Amino acid sequence: MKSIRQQLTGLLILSLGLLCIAVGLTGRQAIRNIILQEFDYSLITKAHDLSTLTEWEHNEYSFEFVEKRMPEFERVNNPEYYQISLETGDLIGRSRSLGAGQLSLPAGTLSEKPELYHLILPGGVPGRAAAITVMPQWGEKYPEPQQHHRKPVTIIIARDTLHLNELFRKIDLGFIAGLLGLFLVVILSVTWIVRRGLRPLNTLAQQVVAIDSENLNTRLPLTSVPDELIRIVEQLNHLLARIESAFQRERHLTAGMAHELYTPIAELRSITEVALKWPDDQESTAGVISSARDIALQMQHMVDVLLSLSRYESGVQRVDFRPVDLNDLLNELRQSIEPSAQNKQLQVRYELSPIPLIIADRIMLQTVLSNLLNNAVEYTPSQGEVSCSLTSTACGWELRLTNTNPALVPEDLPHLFEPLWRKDASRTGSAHCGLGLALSNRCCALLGFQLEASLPQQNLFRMTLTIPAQKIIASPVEF
Amino acid sequence: MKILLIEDSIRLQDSIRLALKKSDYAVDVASDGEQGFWLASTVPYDVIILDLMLPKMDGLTVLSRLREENIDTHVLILTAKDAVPDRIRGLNTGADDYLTKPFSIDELLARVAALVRRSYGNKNPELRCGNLVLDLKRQEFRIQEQILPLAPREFKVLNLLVHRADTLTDRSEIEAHIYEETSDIFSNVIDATISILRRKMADAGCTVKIVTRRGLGYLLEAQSE
Repeated sequence: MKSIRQQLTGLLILSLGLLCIAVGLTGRQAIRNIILQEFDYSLITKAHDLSTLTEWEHNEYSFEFVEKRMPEFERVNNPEYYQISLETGDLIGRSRSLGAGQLSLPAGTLSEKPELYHLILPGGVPGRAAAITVMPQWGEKYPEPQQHHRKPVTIIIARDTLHLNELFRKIDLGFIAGLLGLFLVVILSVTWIVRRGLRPLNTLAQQVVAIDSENLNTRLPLTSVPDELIRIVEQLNHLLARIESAFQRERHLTAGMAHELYTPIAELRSITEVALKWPDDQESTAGVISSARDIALQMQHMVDVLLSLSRYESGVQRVDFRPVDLNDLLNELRQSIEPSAQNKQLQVRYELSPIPLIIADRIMLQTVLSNLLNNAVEYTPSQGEVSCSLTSTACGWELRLTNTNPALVPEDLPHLFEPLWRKDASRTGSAHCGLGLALSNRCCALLGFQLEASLPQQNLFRMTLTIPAQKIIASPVEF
Repeated sequence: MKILLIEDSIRLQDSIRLALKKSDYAVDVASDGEQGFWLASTVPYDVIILDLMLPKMDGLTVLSRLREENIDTHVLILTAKDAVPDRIRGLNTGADDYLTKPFSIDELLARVAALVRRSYGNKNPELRCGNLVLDLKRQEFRIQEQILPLAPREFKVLNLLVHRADTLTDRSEIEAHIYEETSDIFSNVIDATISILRRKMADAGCTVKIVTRRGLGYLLEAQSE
């Protein structure tokens, strides 16, 4: 596709060029017409002048031509011609310039209205003539009653058009030269105007090109921007803000992941290097293989969760909505957390109302519930309490997981769903990688559920999963 | 030489402690910042290896509190925080060296050895006293180009005496620098070790003797040949 500048320049030059040609042609024609009219007017005037010299006298026609008054009919160079004849073709008089020749008559019937036409003059010269048919004037000696003997005469005035054609040729040349000059001016001015007009776009393009991943905090200036571009610039600035935010999230996540991986990699490198350095030492080699496997599993888990989060966020993962029995799901998960809960001597209470079938992706829902239950057990101090309740509300159903957690404060709540955020920055001995709640939150968004964190009382932390009524598809099932 | 390792990762604790012990250092380990600060402020260490992200008290707080209490033990920060501002912050808080995870165990040992040398004002990796040479790189003593065979405890005691050169070192200082916090110390162990060292050094033709200043401690003294 051509550039806007090229398209605008081309179209403007074409249209202005055509306009110039049209105006020029019209002007040329007008000038030619004016000159021709003047030429014709001169012929007609002379024809009328000659008609005053033609008289009917003594039953014959007389023509009193005075050479001194009209020398143009007598001169040798560029002479003019006249011819006076009857309708029968009999000549009454003709100019000396005609010699023995005659001027041809126009086709059709002649009248007092002048007839203008082109003809070939004696000597083969092109010319133009005006012909009129008039009644000759009365001679001074004869009264008007004898006028029935009087017959009309045809007066033809002719003149060569060599000079006229030469003038027309010069006008045409001037017209062409003027048109070419005008065309050049049009090209230059259109190019300049378009370039000047598109300068804000070029400036905008340069500003946009100068933005890369290193200076995404740049915003395009709104000052001195034409009205037509303000909306575009505003939208670009909004887009830049979104891209910057996405890049920051990406960098934060990448840096966070790299940081998360440093510790297990450092552990792996350290234990293997020590084992390699002192291979015969029982203490240095004991447990290296099992530790390496544990570290590999820990990193695999981290990468698995990260990939899941990435798939869910990018929309690659298809959500397989099917009827899901929460009864089965919660039973499975209850059993899975029991050993950990017993080890920490936790008091776990369930207050589950009859559970309806819901529409959800079973794997996603399992991920959410598993994360919530495991977090509750993991972060509850020994001998603490965990309660799980499922109740019907006006908007649908609410699953509430409440556990003892003296560490969290209200300022922590906005960070809970951020990837890699953890209250304990040291991550000591934790099998969690800080992605579980971010993943759960994303899953809930895809499922159409809502996940909220709150601190209902001091030392109590609650996660509330809201399942909207439209996701319920069956009557309650006894738990 | 006695090292304090403040690190919350059990696997790193085990591997670093083992590497240091194999390099004839006595090592105490703390798993959190509070315990690490308590140990660092009550026991004289030659070097402290300090992680930054620690439970209970973060590493920078431990470091700044140690410096506030005028404890000038050399500190090597060992952390996953590798950004330049983190390094600058750590060094400005009072750290003597900064090593990021993952790290080479050899590099860690080399940096610890360098800090130990600096603790005693030595920059040369070979310390000389008479014809007794301590090769810090190879962790061995040589007399007239012959390696002096020493048991780990003997090496540690002689190592400390060589590092302190012309300074008197009393029994409690030797105990503090060569034994770990959890070790059972018998009253005559130091005397027995000194006695063995004197015999081995004399047999090898060493021109340096371990001299006892009664009631004050031990001192290495070069003898005229």
